[in-house]
Amino acid sequence: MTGTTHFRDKTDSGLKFNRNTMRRFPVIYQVVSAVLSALVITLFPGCGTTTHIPGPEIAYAEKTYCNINGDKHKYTVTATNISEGILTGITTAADTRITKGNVIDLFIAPDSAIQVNGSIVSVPVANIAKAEIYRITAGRSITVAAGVAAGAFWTVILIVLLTKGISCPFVYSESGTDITLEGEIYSGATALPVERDDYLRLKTLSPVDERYRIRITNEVKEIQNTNLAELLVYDHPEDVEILVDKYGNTHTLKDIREPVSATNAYGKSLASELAGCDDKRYISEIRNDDLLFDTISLSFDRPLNSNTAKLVISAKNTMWLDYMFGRLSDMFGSRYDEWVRIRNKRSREYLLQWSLDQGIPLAVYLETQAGLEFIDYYNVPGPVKDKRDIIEIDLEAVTTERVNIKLVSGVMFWDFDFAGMDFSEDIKADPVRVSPDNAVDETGREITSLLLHDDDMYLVQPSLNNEARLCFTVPPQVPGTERSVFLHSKGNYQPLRDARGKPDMELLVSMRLPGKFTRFTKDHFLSYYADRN
Amino acid sequence: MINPLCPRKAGIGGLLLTACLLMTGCYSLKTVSVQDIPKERNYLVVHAGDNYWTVEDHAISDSYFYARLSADTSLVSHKNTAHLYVAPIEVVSVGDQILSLPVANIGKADYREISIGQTAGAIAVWFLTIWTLLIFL
Repeated sequence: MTGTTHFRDKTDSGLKFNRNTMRRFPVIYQVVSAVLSALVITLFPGCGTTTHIPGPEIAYAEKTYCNINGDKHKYTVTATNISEGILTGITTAADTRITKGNVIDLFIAPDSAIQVNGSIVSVPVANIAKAEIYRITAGRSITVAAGVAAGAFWTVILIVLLTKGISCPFVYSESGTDITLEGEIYSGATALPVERDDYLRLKTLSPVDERYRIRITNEVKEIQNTNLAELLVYDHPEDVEILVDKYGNTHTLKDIREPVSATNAYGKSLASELAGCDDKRYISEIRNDDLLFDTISLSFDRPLNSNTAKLVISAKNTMWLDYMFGRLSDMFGSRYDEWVRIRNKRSREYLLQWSLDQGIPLAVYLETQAGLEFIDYYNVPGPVKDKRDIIEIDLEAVTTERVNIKLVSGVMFWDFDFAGMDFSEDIKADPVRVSPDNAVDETGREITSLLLHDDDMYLVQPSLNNEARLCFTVPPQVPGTERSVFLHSKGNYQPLRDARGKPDMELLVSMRLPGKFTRFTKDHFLSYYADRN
Repeated sequence: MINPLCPRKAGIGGLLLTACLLMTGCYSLKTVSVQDIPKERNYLVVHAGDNYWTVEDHAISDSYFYARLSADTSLVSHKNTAHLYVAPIEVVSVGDQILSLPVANIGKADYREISIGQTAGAIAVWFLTIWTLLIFL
């Protein structure tokens, strides 16, 4: 399987690599900090210091080894024993590895008191001038553990700062008591030609003062241009789930089946990682080989008479992808702005094909009688929150009782939580479209008109902490139904990089080749990993 | 004053107190020969078995160590003291004012000295830790 695919654009929008990164996420930071701190404190072996122990306690020191230090001679012995005032031990092999926490140091005076008989070393206890052991001290251990934990925390912050240069707008829902991050919108639309629609499920949204209230924020260095924002409100039976695909088509899910087999490119089973939305996840396994594209092979039992299937994934991008795309951007150095201008003049097809050639979106292949057929791809959902996304697959060309799917992306570009397939027929579910009846920016300026239509008027958020607050009228709910609300948005964004220096044009030009960026990221990872091992 | 209803202040106070309790400086044990004990270590504590004597004005002559027994030990601190460990105890000779023993029977001489690097590192570590936690408290 190669990563070179031919992109099939329907009406959708495109996709593009990079994606955002974190932003200020106090809860996430706290959790990460707490976890790292707990790990460090749990695993840290402690700090020690040399401690004098009284002579009578030597026999109870419970150390495996004993250093017998004379003025002129030194011996390391084991199997020590004290009998009739004489300490004896057997000399250890020269290559014995001894940790300082497992040894007692005895200082003998005079040196002549040390007697050696073959491998037996003996010393009168009366000639032991001092005995020392290396003991863990709580104070220093706590200090170092606290320091390492704090260091780990700031490392996380540093990583965030390093990777947060490329992102997209974040969307928050208000519920009256909480403001919850729902996810990111039009991720990867980093150039005007690849502006795209996005459909984000607002899971925690609930009416506040009889209004739905959301916030669209810019929390990274980029210029975010939102063209449209509206809600799609579905009232549906309780036993179905609603998902909207990237084309804006509504799908109902009633019977999502887990794969009967799931393996990665190396044949490792991913059954537990991809089953259910839980803590078990899958990110590509990286080996020092030529593999650039990870392939997840999925097999599903196909019900009789099923002609279509809906492939559902819950996934996000890795920070690594964001970080490396930022690295690529920075390589343009002083010509970064020029590169941005060129990209904005490229065709949509060119940019989409490049990203597919690098394995940035998640390509979907179907095994048919004629061989593997490229079906479609999932847009990058961003690295902050999992996004549940769906692609409808026509099974006309599948003649077997199994539906075999391959998901292909660049190694370490995607982070998966779940994959499943629903063969049920879509039931009719039409949304109520609700435009914002009021929207203001962080200064209180009215911006509603900018978001009402897909036109040339954009809500432009060029700075950190720009925030738009949108209010929507809550449509009356159909009795006996469950409600699902999606944010339909459209837009693009331009990452702002502080790139400097002379660009490496030879390398950058080579990035046009399929898989070159993927190779670049893998090589970088292997080099980074090797430096630390 | 700590308001018992304010966990934030209590947390910060507890943190600072912990730091103060733990941060008394970082010391390391330095082993030297008896001839190389620094002059500013003008008090020596001679240990032999369970006994010890505090001495000063020491000298070495003919492979013997001589020192004057300290009459006043109130000025002794870990900053001006070194320790000698002697065995067996019978070699220590104590007169009215003078303690003497063979140099060969000094098994070890050491003193504790503050490690500026470790102490500075520890202060930095605590500063970083407290600063980090204050963000969330």
